[in-house]
Amino acid sequence: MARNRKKNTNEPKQHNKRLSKALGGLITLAESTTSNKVLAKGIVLFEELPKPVDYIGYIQKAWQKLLLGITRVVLSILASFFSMVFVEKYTDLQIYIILFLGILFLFLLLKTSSFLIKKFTEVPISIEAVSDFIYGCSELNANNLKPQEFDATSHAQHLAKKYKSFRKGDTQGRRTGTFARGHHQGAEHSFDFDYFTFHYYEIIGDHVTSMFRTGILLKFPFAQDFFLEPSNSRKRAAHIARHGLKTNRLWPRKTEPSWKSPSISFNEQIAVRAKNSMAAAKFFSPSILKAIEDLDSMLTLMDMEFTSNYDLCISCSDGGLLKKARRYSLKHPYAFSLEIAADTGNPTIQQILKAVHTLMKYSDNNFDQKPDLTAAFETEIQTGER
Amino acid sequence: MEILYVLAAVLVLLLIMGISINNGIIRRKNMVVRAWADVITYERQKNETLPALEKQAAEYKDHEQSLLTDIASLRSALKRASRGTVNTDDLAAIEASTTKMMAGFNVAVEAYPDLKMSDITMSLMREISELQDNIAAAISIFNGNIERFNSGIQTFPNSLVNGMGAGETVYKPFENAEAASSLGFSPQQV
Repeated sequence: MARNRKKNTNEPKQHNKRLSKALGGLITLAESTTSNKVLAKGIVLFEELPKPVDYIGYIQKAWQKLLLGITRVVLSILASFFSMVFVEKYTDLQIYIILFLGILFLFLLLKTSSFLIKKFTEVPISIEAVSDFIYGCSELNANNLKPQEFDATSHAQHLAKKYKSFRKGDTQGRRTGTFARGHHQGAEHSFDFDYFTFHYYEIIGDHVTSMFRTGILLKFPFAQDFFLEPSNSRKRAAHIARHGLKTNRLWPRKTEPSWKSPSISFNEQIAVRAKNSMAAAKFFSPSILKAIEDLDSMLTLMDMEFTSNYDLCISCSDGGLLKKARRYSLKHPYAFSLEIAADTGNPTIQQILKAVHTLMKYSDNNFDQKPDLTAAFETEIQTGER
Repeated sequence: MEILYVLAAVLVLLLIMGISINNGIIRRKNMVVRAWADVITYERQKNETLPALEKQAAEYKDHEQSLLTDIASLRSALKRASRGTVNTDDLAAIEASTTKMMAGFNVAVEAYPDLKMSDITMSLMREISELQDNIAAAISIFNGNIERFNSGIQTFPNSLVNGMGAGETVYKPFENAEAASSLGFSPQQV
């Protein structure tokens, strides 16, 4: 009997140990594999564990029992005290003081207990956090992206030197969130690209707003020195939506576009800043204008920057192109594995890449040999420019 | 006296609104003309590919004569179109000539599979195809501008200002008659 009892108390410990090990293995698998099918198979193995899959909070249960016991004792002391009140006739003030002290004691007891419960029942890794991580990896896999290692602050500073799009908000708070590398194979051009998320803070007086941008970076050898951004009216509308009608130096300044397209609808949506208006007239052919306008209508506050070094940065304020809300977690392994196996990638990223391919198609020379964009990208990686 | 001030203020406001609307009409008209000029410019870029096409035509012996005739007909249609005057009938003539010439070229290319695979033919076909895409996009922009312009002179109070001031009339958007007939359907107002 005593042996059985001992076995029962060890069971939750063993379960938690086993679960921690399995989660660690799954994280390693997610980091190493590029196939969502393999990842889904790894998740299905969690079906062997009791459902819903989670840590057993045995310490928490013990604390709860202890707390309940103490509360009972305190309540019975209070009850016996009140029963004596009528016999021994305490003064009103004394009754109030004792009552107050009793309630204070219970309050402090509850507070201390909840703190201790939290402290001692902290699980090594939360199931939800691991599910988020696995889902993030599967999203990268589904879009054929490989995560890159980087330092969030210095990387953002490095990118700010190259691109205007990374010079937003307060300089101290700029961070790169995700940075992953991918490849797009089009009918006429194939190219490597970097997917990124970028966080920064807009500070207006005492009010700090956390901002988020996401997009892609790539080599674009057919154009340089153009910056496309939302028109003045759209920028102002976005500013009002974010900060209200506060007027300060952050209010978007009215700047005239240096080149205007022949399309009324394009000019209403997008402002083109070009160093050379002749080059702009040559590059922005009707097909390119249409492709950019279509892309802009799909994204929120899109910026498109063609640098003087033939780099292209497309960014927008959409809440993470990869960040779709997951429906299931590891608590329900089978459903979660099906969700991951069915992920076929984010259509928005595919649309952006297709739009970039269209820009390349209509700006290259059909009689020249196509430039090797992948090799150019590789060279930049080797020289540390990227 | 106060009523007079109010009336004067209202009149000044109406005048400013009228000027602003009138300027808007003129701006949109200029954009229509600019978009039209773009369409014709891209159409005329075909002239740059025509010498290469003529050179290629010599390779397709059986089809040489008909190809050269089609090219000549396209050249004369391109010459007729003016960049300054919006005339969608001229554009329709150019598009019809292009379609005829391209159909003839495709037949010729199909008859000579070896030539079809040559780099120069493929590059030429890609160039023409992209040019046609650009023309289609330019026409789409032109039609979009026309829609804005027409709405800008037909809706109230713009129609009133236009009647008193600029006196502009609506532009006819470009319609591809061949594409419309192949659909067998045209929108009709009930």
